[in-house]
Amino acid sequence: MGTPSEQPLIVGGKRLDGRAMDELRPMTIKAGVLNRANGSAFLTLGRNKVMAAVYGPKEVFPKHETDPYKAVVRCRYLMAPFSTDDHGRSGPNRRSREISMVIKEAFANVVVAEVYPKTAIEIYIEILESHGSTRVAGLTAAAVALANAGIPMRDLLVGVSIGKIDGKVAVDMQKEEDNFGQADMPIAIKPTTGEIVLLQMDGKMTRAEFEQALDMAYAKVDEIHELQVAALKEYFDRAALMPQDVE
Amino acid sequence: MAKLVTPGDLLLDRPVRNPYTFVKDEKTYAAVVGMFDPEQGRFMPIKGSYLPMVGDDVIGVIEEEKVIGYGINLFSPYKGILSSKGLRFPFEPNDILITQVSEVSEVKDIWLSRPMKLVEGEIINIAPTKVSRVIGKHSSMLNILKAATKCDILVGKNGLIWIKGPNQQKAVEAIGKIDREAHLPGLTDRIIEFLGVKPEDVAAMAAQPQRSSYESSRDEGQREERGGFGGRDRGGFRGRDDRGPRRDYGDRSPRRLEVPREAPASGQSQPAEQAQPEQGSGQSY
Repeated sequence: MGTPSEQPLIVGGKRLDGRAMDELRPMTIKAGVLNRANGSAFLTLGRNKVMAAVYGPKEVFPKHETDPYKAVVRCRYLMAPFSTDDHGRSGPNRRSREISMVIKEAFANVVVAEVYPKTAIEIYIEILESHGSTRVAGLTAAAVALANAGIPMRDLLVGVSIGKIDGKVAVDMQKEEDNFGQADMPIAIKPTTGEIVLLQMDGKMTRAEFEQALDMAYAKVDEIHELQVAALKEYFDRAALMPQDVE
Repeated sequence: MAKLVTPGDLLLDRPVRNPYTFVKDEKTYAAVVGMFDPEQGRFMPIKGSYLPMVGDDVIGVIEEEKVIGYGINLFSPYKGILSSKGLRFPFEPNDILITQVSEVSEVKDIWLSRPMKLVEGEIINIAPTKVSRVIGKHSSMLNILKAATKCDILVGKNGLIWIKGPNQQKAVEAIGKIDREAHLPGLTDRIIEFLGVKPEDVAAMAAQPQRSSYESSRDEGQREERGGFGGRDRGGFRGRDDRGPRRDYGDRSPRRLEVPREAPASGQSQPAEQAQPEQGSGQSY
């Protein structure tokens, strides 16, 4: 959300890229793309390209962060310097540290951490190309990577963003809508129970609009969840045909 | 017919506790991606780290030498500890051992026992969740593999498998195939076809336990019977005999230590034998 745009974001009932208000950008997910990670996933959402990798359960370093009763979940979300229009600085910044923290806390809700006490489960989310809603894209990819790694989880998390553009509630905000719209709300939902594990909002919405936004998010959860399951299924079918990864 | 389930899918209407499932409202749900067979109620996770259980045979690599023994890399989230107490000969870092899990503590310290060094042969690493498929029902798959390839095969529950024999490469490929295709139906038939075993021989192979040369050489109860302290070349209890002769510290009874302090103050009243200080201890006070 930024300064209101002078150009309309909705033209003739369609959004800038020709989508309807409740339409997602085309999404593809591929699981198991990295050989050296325990689990990985590559996700595209419109022009977004996101790589997620999961390592662990493994020993905790530094040692003092060890939890003797459960695994420690860690997350690093990073945008590549070349992922935006302007070449950015590499390394974490205030924004990426905040996003890492909220994604970590979302996954801490679903990972069955008691199975692996004294270990760390590390999630790495790299945004290779960004075009709005990267945190939910990263979260959706990370959920697939965790399942791909065989980490016990109570649910596959699904992330979806909703916002308000030109006074109307729309799902899956792209960059221009995020920058010049009136509100932006990323949500992460447990698809089987419908519980919300992440909800942030930037901008202003009325109570009625918020309710409508939540309904729109829930309507899209199953669609994304099916893509995640299909990606995992595709990976395990493909894995059977791959030559053995000898190390 | 088994089907693929993903985290959060309902498996059973009754609670079953398992590292790969979780229980909510008295119902069991899948926690990992796996194949679930509703008729038999069997759930096979496709991936997962090794979780230690007492009695498991595991294969590991010695990583470090500690005061109490050896730290062993088991290719799982937790390291194993092998106490050097009772060992008949020392090991070295990078030695590969097959050992048995004798104790798993609350905080997942894995204590190992009955080590056996593996020399020669080949080690391969498969997913720990597939180990049960390599072994098969009543070791049937393992017996077929051993008979068909004429190899010694030792399976560690942590996913490391040791193979030695004339058709080593064939065995490695067959086990790799099991690892990759364990979740697809008709595994045994495909493996039998891959190994080129005649269908009429299968039953005999599966039933016949092939004792590997390793298993027959494993000296069960060795420690208890000999009780250590064998000759050095026989590899007896290690440690005592390389310290050299025991130094003589003399008689260290507490009575004598009190003597020097009291001797100057009340020397006359002390009995003669008590007042007489020992040379060494008397000077130090």
